[in-house]
Amino acid sequence: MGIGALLFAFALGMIWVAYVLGPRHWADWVLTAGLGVATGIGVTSFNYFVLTWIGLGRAPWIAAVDLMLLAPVAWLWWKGREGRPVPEERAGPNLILAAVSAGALAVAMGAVASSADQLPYGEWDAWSQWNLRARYLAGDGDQWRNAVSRDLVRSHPDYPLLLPSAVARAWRFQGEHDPDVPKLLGIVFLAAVFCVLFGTLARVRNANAGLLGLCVLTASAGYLSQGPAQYADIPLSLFVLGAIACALLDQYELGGLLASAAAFTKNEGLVFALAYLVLVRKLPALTGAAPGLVTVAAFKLFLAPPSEFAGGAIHGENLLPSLWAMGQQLYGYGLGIGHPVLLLAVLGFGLGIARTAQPMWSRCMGILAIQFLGYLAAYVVTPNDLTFMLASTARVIGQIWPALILLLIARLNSPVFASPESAAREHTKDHPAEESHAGRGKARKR
Amino acid sequence: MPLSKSFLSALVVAVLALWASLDFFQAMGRTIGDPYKVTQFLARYGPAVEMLPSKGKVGYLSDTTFDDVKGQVLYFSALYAVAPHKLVYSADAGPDMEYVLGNFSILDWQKNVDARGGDHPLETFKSFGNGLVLLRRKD
Repeated sequence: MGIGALLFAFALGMIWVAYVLGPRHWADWVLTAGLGVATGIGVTSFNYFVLTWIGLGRAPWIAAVDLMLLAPVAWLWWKGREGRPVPEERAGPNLILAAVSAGALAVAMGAVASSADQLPYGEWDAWSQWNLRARYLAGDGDQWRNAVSRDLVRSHPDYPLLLPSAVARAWRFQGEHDPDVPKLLGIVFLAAVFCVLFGTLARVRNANAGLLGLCVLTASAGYLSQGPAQYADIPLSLFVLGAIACALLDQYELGGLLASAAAFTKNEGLVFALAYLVLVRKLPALTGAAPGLVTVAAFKLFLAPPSEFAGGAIHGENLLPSLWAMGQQLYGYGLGIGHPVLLLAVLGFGLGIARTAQPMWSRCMGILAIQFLGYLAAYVVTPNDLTFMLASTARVIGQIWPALILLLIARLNSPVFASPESAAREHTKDHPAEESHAGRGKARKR
Repeated sequence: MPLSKSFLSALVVAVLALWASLDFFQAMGRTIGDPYKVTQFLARYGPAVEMLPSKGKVGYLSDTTFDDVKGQVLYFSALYAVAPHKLVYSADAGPDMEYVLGNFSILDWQKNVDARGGDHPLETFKSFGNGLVLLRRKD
C-alpha cells in the first residue's frame, strides 16, 4: 500500500508533466518520467503536509485531494493528446555510445541499489532526522507537531518537511513504518535525476548529448554514493535540476513549482527558489511557485523554530578553509582517470563550445552561482564549529552538480556522428543565427 | 562513420565512465550492513514503546552524554524508535510527563536513577534488561 501511494504520486506527476510538455518522442517520455517523479512527489507532499496541518491528514482525505488534482489534468491531457503536433524527426543516438553509456548507468545504479539494500535505514541523518520526522508526520492526532518541536535536541526541527512528508504519506496509507519506502524513494529520486538530465539534453541538443550527460553523472561517485543514504540532498538536486531544465525548455510554470519544492526540501532550496524567481523573471514561474512558497513561508513563520545555523557573526577567516574543503570534495567526486571534471574537459575539447547558447543559459548559470555563494555565506556566518559544518560540503556540491553538468554540456556543440545531412541539421540547431542569416539570403535571392 | 574528434572524445568519455562505474561498484560493495544497528535498536526498544501511553511526552535518562558517540547513538536510536511519541532529553520535563525511558550502557543503572534528584522521584515501572528500563513518576 505504501509503495502504491508512491506509484500514485509518480503517475500524478507524469500525467501533469505529459499535459505540460506534450511528449511524442521517446526521449521526451524519458524527460516526462523524470520530471513526473519530481512533480508528483512535490505536489503530493505539499498536499499531505497542508492537510495534516489543518487536521485533515487521514488517508481518505489525502486520497480525495490527490485524486481531485489528478482527474482534471488527466482528462485535459487525454483530450488534447490527439491534437498535438507530430514531433520533428530527430537523429537517434549513436549505438556504440548508447551501449557503453547504458552499461555504465546499469553498473552504477546496480551499485546504488545493492548498497541501499545494505542500509535499510539509510545513513545517520536519515534515521536521526529525515525519517524521524516522517514518523512524527505519520502519527495520530497532534503527534505531527513533534516534527517541529523545540524539545528535539540536535535534530534540526527547523528543516523543511517535503521529504518527510513524502515518506509519511506512504506510511499513512500503509499503516506502518516500512523502511522500504524511504529506501525506494531514494533510488527513484536518483533515477529521476538521470532521466531529467538525459531528456533535457536530448531536447536542447540531441540524444548523444543526453548520453554524454549520463556518462559524466555516472562517473560522479561522490554524488552517486549519496543515493542509498536517504538524505534530502539528492531530492533537492532533482528539484534544482528540474527547475533549471524547465527554464531551458521555456516551461516556467513547472519550473516555478519545482523551485518551490526545492524550498520545502532543505533550507538551501529557499536560496535557490528566490534566486530562480529573481533571475528567470517570468510571471508563470512566480505563478507556479506561489502555492508552494506560501506553504513554505507559513511553515517558517508559524511552525518552525529558528535555525540553529543562522544568526552568527561574519567570520571572514572561514572563507578560505571553506573553499579549500569544497575543492577537496570536488576532487574526491570521481575515482582516478574517470573523474567527472576530466570527462567534462574532454568533452569541451572534443565538441567545442557552441557559438550560441539557449536563451536562459546565462541566467541559469547565475542561479547556480548564487546558490554556490549561498553555501559559502552559510559557512562564513555559522556560529557552529567550522570543521563540523564542512562535513557537509560533498552533499551541498551534489545539490547543484547534475544541474551544472546539464548546463555545461548544453553549452557545447551537439555531438553528431551520423550522416552529413544530420550533421548539417544539428549544426543549424547549434548556430540558429547562421540559419536565419542563410534564410534571409535565400529570401533576398528570390 | 568518420572517426572525428567529437566522436573520439565522446567514446573516450563513455569508456572512462564505464571504468569509473565499475570502480564505484567495487567501492560500494564494501558498504557495511546497517552500520548503526538500527534494526537491533528497534527490537530492543520495541517492548518499551508498546507500553507507552498514546499521548504525552516521555523523558529520557542515561549514563551517557552527547559528548561521546555511544551517547548520541543511544539517544537518537531511542528518539527514532519512540516516535511518533515525543522523547524529551530530560528526566524532569514537567508535570505532564509520567514516564521516563532509562537507556543505559551499564547494567548497574539503579544508582543513576537514585542519584538523579529533581522534584519528581522515579520508580521502576518495568525493566527490559540490558540497560533498558521504563521509569514512572512516583507522584
